[in-house]
Amino acid sequence: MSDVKNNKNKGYNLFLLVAILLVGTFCTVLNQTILATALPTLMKAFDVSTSTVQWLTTGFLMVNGVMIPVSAWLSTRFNTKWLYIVAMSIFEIGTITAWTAPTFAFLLAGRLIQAVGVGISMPLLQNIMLSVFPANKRGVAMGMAGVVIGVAPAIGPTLSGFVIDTWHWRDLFGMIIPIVAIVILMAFFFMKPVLKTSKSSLDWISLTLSTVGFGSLLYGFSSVGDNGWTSTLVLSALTIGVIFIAFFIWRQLKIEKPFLELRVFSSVEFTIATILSSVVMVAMVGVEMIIPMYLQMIHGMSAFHSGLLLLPGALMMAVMSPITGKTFDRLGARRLAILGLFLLTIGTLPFVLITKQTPTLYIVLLYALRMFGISMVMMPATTAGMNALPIQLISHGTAVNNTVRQVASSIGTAILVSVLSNTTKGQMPGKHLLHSEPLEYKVRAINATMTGYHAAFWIAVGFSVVGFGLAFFLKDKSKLAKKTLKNNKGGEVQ
Amino acid sequence: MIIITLIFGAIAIFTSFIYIEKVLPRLLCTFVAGVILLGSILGIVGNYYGHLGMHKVTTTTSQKIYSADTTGKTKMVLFQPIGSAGKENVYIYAKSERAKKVSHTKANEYTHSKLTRVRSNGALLKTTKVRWQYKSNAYKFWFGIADNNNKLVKSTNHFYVSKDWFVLSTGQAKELKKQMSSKSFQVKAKEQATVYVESKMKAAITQDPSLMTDKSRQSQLTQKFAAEYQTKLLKETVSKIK
Repeated sequence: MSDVKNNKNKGYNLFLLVAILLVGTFCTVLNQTILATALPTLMKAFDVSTSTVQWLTTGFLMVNGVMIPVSAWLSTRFNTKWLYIVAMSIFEIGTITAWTAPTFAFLLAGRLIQAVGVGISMPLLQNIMLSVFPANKRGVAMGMAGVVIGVAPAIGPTLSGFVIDTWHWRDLFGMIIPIVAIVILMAFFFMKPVLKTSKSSLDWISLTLSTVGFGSLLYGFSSVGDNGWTSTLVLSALTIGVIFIAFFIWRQLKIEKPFLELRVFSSVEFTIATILSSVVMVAMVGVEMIIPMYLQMIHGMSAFHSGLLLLPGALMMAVMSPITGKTFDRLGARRLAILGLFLLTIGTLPFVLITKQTPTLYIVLLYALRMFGISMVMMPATTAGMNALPIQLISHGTAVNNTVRQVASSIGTAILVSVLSNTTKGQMPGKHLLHSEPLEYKVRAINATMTGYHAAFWIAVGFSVVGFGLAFFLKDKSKLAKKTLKNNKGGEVQ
Repeated sequence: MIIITLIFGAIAIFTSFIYIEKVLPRLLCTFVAGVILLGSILGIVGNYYGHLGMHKVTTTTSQKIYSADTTGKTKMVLFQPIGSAGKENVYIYAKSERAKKVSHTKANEYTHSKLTRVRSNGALLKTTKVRWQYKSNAYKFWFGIADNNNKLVKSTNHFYVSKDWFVLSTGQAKELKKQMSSKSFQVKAKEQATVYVESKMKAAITQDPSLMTDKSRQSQLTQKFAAEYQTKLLKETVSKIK
């Protein structure tokens, strides 16, 4: 705290600092969901398949996930001001690359560079907000940060649909460039090195192992769509991934200062909570990607219209989060998670029966019902996991939870899309039919695509059911309280 | 209405499961709310998957159609095959006698078109449309908001065309037009027409010598034979194109 006072005495402008941070972070977080309604357009623009285009989202999430532990190290090692400027500059470079991309490879490269910037700057926001505000004002501070982190991804799909219908997909990236440029410029003057730093080293071997391991796993699952489950490419990529990850885990448990403190998993409560928040994240991100595709390709909707239909569900999250927050304080996560995953399951099941003529109103409602359920699980489960850890492990717990969640959502989404494209491909009529009977071809092609969607939604249902089962293993708050009480009593006796 | 019960069910299950403290009332209320919510979802799925509350309604309309040749010289219906298998065609016709623009049947997965030759005169188009409609106002009240009333299932266009009409593909029609407008063809046609009319006239006179002196009847016959020849020529040319 004395640091903060010192900084204040130096007279930095807290308002401007926070404003820069929030605007910058808003732009970066927006990019997590901005492509949701843009994928069909990009598939046409670059003539690529569903299983290729999904890399723009899953690759982004993966890099995000791998960068989280790196970001934790960077923020304790380097001057906050320069770290933030560098992170935003990387993001800007990625955005410009994506904006000008002549081929799909460039676009993907731009997205991955963006993801590095996002991976560094997003955890930074939380750390900086916590350190520049005194304890009694942190609630408001985190509230503001929460609005930015919560609202940006919610409006992403709708905003991007609007931009694509009105202008061009390149403008999705183009519109961010000047804003980020201003943020970088302002950061030179108003950003301050607010976090304490010390000399420490990063375990580069762990970073390499995790990047290669998770990257290879993602590559394996993503290639299923084009190559099938049993292709050598898929199997070898998956095997390499598993081997590297096994080495990574072994190394984390062995070295003194691990890259990711995996010992947090010795807490069962934390483990269940992490799995739950990951499952829910997959259920959210994966379906958020598939539904706009369904609406645009089968119902022939515009990008904006399809984005608009996702908005009620996204806003549901924003409305519910303060309510579930309060409920969590009172009841703990167990009851919320059970109900939430029940709603998620019964909200996802109808999607396995959707037809090409299912009224959009039903899609909107069921999507909102899913989000209603997700909002009861996501934050409460994460918080419950943290609360189960002893104080000295909490920062490690945050890093592990965030990393696992991002990596899982990346791989989970890749699996969902792979099943979708693999099933579709298996049912697709032969090309000769397109020539001889184009109408029959169209009917069969749409049916094939629908079978693909059904298969993908079955996977989503599977995830929800697993989550529902696991939720029962969470501990009740009353039981937790009793347990702590007992432990304390035991301590007194001793 | 189904929306209202769905939203009510969702809010009710949340409130009762989370906010009711006592176990028994909590479980009871949750159960009731759950039944409402699940019932609404089942209703929705039933409605879009199994067309709950709807039935197929068939409507048939008939209209007289006119030649796709808007100059009115020849009676014809044109068709354009969709795909090389030739199982589906788009038919081109005119909706009224003096139509300046021709009409055509739709080319989509719901529409099927076919053509039958009939003895009677003229041409007729019978359109049969099958749609999903709500069985009753009660069902409409529950699900009507989904805007899925009157959704088209199938549309069939059946053309009944008499034998004196030409039914040509658009390719044949183009070729025909090209051939008939060529100089050599026109010269040849004129020559042959004269020969045809003359020989017919001779035959007619040998049958009925009184024709020799009746100029008006002669000119009438000449016109008739000329028209006959036109039709014959057209038929021959068409059969050659085929």
